[in-house]
Amino acid sequence: MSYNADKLVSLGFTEQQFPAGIHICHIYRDINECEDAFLKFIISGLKAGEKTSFFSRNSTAQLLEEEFEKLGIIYEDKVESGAFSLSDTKEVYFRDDCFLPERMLALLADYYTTSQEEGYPAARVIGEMLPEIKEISGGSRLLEYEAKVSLLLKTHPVTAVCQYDAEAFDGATIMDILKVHPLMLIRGGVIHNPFFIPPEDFLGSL
Amino acid sequence: MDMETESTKPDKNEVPGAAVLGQLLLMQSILCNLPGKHSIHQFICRGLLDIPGVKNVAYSEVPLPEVHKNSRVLDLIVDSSNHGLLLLELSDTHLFAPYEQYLKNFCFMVAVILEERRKRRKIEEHQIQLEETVAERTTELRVANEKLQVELAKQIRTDKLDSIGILAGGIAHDFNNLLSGIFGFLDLASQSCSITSRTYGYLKKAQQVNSRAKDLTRQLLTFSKGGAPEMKPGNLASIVRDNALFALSGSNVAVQFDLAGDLWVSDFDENQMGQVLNNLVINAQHAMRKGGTIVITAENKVLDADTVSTLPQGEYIKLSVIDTGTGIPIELVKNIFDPFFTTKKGGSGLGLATSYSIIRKHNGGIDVESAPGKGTTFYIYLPRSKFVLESLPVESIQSHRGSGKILVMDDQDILLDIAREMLEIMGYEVMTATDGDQALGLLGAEARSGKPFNLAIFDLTIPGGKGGIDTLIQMREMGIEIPVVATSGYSVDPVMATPDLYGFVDSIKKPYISKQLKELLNRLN
Repeated sequence: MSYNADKLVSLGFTEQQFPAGIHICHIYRDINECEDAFLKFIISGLKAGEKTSFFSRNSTAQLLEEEFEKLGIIYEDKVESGAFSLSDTKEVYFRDDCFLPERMLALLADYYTTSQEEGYPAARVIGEMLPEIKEISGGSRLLEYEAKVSLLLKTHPVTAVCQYDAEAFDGATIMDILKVHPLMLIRGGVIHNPFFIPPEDFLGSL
Repeated sequence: MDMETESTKPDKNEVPGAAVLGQLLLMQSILCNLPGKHSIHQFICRGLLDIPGVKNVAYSEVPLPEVHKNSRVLDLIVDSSNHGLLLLELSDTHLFAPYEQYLKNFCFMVAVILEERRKRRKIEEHQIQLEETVAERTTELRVANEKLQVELAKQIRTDKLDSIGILAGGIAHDFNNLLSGIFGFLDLASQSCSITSRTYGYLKKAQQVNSRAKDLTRQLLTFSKGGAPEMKPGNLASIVRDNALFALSGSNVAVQFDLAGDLWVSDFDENQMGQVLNNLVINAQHAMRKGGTIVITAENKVLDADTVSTLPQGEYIKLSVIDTGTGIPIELVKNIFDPFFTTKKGGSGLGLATSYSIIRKHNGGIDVESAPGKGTTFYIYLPRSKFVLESLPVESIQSHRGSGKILVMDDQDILLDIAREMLEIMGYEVMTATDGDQALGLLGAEARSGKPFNLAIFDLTIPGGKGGIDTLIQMREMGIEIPVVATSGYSVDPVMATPDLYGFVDSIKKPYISKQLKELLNRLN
């Protein structure tokens, strides 16, 4: 995967800086690991003045408010200004009880465009994929979606982190997920994913 | 970080080790996050499919009987712990060959991870077990501690009871002696004035009040001593009416009797049963502040075993005292017979405890039924007597004349005065002693003078001195064989119940009136 190395962003969970528009997979073991990652990612984005979005399946607004307050960030201000948005994962991913990669990709593209129009230096998004996708209509297109996200980010460089619960997805699915994410967050570090298959190749094999 | 681009990305065909090594290392890291064995096996099997030359990967818990030459078996073993094996079906053994060693190392690391997880799980299980055991033990300790607290409280109550018993006994003994004096002189005074005079009426009323004081003292003495009842066969109905009417005199509560005409004879201590009836009736009256009627019934009852707990099968007289008062809260009923338990402000909490003790010593049973707002019923069961009641002479002897010399020994001067007065009126010569030694001195002197005593009356309890029993023993050792009567304020003293077992010819309870003294002397004659 190639990235625009001109614009570097801080991810929050590592000291290193990365080009904007990277696509990272985070397979977490427990809720603490999940919360730790998304809090760091969101706060570093807000501190950098980026437009930041978070898809969560739990009501985490209170947690976010408390964590923001510790750092002197007023949650309500960020939400009202549009710098931060919190959405329910189900409503975003599974609207009308189906998963449509095209709808999601359009949302992502629009999100980036809006951030540029609003004058943000960059945009980022972090969201948890729900295990319900296995049962929902269109759920089998998950890997296709993730591969297409990698493609989209080349032209719409939103720094994206996808979180997957190791308890909720079986081992085979997790291995497949690795193949469509160029980078991985593991043990506090971001590494190149040796299992990654370039999206063009992956989509061609479907 | 060195960001890789398309052109610098390692080609897995050109550099056999690097990409595969990277994959294997990443897999190892992710394995730690996967929750279960099944997920791990799936993950590994899917991941190893990317190894060049590998066509299929499967996991097996058990060794396989035979392996094709195009297959490879990779054991997951560490520290002799076997975690199964991976079976690789190869599409190209030559392509696979450079990666075989990497895979063996990888499998070893996987076995290490699985073994660590197994040990961690065991520790967690032990921890859970330990926590459960601790919780169980804590509960056991808490329950045992609560039991201990209950037992301790009981013991403290018992000790308190004993202390109060000792104190009560001491006070009651002295008080009883004083009452005996009042009793005796009231009796003498009433005998020495005209039966129609106003003075006679006043004296009779004073005797009644004194009698109630005597009863109270007796209750305290019974409670403090808790001794054997002086059982005599009788008809319970006779004392039921008297005690109930007396207890309710002057109150706004009436009493209605339903006593079977053919009521069986039972063995009981009249004084103690009087106390019990008094307690029950007074309690019923207190529960009926707005007035009403207490119903007392008495009937013959044959009980099967376990009809009433603690009572064996047999024939009983069943007495019921029924009130329509406030009733007792259900949670308090079980405590009703506990010493010091009372719901009455200022109540001693001894009445029902004493009643319970008395009934149990009568080999009977006492029970209660009550509900708030529905009144209370006490049931008393007394065993039927083996004896048939013979009709007594119409009236006990009103007069007695005698002669002879009587020695009365008591530590209370007033009682000695009373006894002397009564006996001298009857015609006896009386000498008195305040303790056993003095009595023995007089006995010896009179015997030596050739004018021995005809009868002695010894108080059983002489504080700080020789009591009745010791005096009797010594007297016999002196060769003096005159009959001796035991007397005591403790009606429950076993000597009083069975004086003959202790060498006495009879017993008389203090305070006694001249009528009782006359009856005694007539019996001895």
